[in-house]
Parts: sequence; structure tokens; C-alpha cells
Amino acid sequence: MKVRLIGATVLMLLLAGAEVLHAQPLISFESESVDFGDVRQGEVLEHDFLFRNDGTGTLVIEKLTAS
Amino acid sequence: MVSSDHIGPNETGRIRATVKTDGKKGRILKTVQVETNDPVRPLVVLKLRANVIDAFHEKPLQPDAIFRSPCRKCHLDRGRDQMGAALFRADCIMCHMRGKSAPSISSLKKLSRERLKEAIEEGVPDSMMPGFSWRVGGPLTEAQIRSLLKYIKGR
Ligand code: HEC
Ligand code: HEC
Repeated sequence: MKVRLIGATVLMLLLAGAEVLHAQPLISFESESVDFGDVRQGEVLEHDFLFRNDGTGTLVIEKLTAS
Repeated sequence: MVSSDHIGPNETGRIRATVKTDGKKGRILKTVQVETNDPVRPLVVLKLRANVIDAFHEKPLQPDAIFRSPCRKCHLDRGRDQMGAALFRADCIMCHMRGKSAPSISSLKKLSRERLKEAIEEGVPDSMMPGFSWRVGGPLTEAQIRSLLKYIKGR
């Protein structure tokens, strides 16, 4: 009986661990491109790209490179 | 540029991108590469497009308009009191460079001194080449025009 309980606990811990290991972030953008159409030379264009983390783990933005 | 770099499950974030259009012309594309710990899509490339309209260079243009405001601030003012190469770079190069409507300096060099002088002083009729001599309302003195002839022929 005791052995069984410990076994069950170990199994639960293992499952919980697996759950944590499998927690994955999933980035999902509302839209990944924008077209401003005709603009006047000299204007500064600005756009917000909105995204959501649809996964189960924390999403980390590691690097942004503009070109 | 990014609202926060750690985003929990079901949380949202925002990446702000800006595009400067100074000196740009026509279709432009700017990209932002987003690198994350998402194992499936570690790299997302965001794209920003626009069609930049250059208000100063919309047709039709008068050739001698470059002598006046608002054109002169780019086309003439830097050439004031300059001579030779510096004057050519300030007043002539924007039309007389490769890829532009006017002949490049190496083709100008092949013309006779008389032809060069006439075209610079009086312009070329029915074209965007205005007369630069002060005698026809242009910005250049005799000495400046002589310095241009010397510079073009000497190359
Ligand atoms: C902000 C600076 C600026 C102003 C203002 C400006 N120009 Fe220009 N222009 C340039 C530059 C730089 C070039 C050469 C590069 C290019 O074509 O973009 C040029 C090129 C030109 C050309 C040659 C185009 C070709 O393809 O051969 C013409 C003609 C011209 N300009 C006329 C004008 C006239 C007329 C005005 C006034 C209505 C004007 N520009 C105002 C900067 C300017
Ligand atoms: C606004 C644009 C513009 C500017 C600025 C300009 N040019 Fe020109 N130029 C032209 C064009 C276009 C032609 C060609 C005309 C044609 O043959 O149709 C031309 C023609 C010429 C020619 C005659 C070429 C030939 O085959 O007969 C000479 C010489 C010349 N340019 C010299 C100059 C010099 C020197 C300057 C500076 C002081 C200058 N140009 C500034 C547009 C320009």
C-alpha cells in the first residue's frame, strides 16, 4: 500500500515534470505585413505589430533586427 | 521597439516599427526580424511596404524652376561661390549622373568646348537643361562657367 502511494506520487511528479518540459511558447501575429500605400517623401511611418503567446510556456523575444 | 520581452501564455505584446522616407523614392520594403524561443517558429520576418511619392519631382517641371524656391535649396544653394569640380557636384551632378536623364560627365567630355559653353550658358531647348548664365537669368558668372569647362574637359 505504502509502496503503491509512493509509486503514484512519483508518477504524478513525473507527469508534472513532463508537463513543464512540454510547456512551449507559440508566437502568433495578428498580421505579419503592412502596406502603407502612397506616402509623401519625408513622412515617418509607424506601425504596431500585435502578437499573442498562444502557447503554454513563457515567450521570450530574444532579438529584433530591422533592415 | 517591443512592449515587453517576456510574454506569458495568453498574453499579448506589441512591436513598434518605424520607417523613414527621407530621400526614398518609389516602392520600398523594410523588414523586422523577430527571434524568439518559440521552438516551431524561432524567426518571424515582419514586412512594411510603401510607395514613396517624391513631391518635388512630379512631372511636369519647368527646366529653370531649379533656380527658384523650393527647388534651389537642393539644386543651387550649395554651389554658390563654388568653382570647378565642387560646382559641378553641387549644381550639375543630380541630373548628369549615371541612370539620370542627362548625359554623364564622360559623355560631356567628348563634346567640343564651343558646344559645352553654349549648352551651359543658354541651356538645351525643349529639355530639362536650363541656361545657367547670369545673362539668361541663371545663377552662374562667366568665371564659374569657365571653371566648369576646364573641369569637364580636363577629366
Ligand atoms: C530635397 C532636395 C531637392 C529638392 C527640393 C528638389 N530636388 Fe530635384 N533632385 C534632387 C536630387 C537629390 C536629384 C538627383 C537624384 C534623384 O533623381 O533622386 C534631383 C534630380 C532632379 C532632376 C533630374 C531627374 C532625372 O531623372 O534626371 C530634375 C529635372 C530635378 N531634380 C528638378 C527639380 C525641380 C524642378 C525642383 C523644384 C520643383 C526640384 N528638383 C526640387 C533633390 C531635390
Ligand atoms: C535639372 C537637370 C539638369 C541640371 C541641373 C543640369 N543639366 Fe545639363 N542637361 C540636362 C539634360 C536633360 C540634358 C540633355 C538635353 C538633351 O540633349 O535633350 C543636358 C545637357 C547638357 C549639355 C549638352 C549635352 C549635349 O549633348 O549637347 C551640357 C554641356 C550640360 N548639360 C552641362 C551641364 C552643366 C555643366 C550643369 C551644371 C552647371 C548642368 N548641365 C546641369 C539636365 C540638367
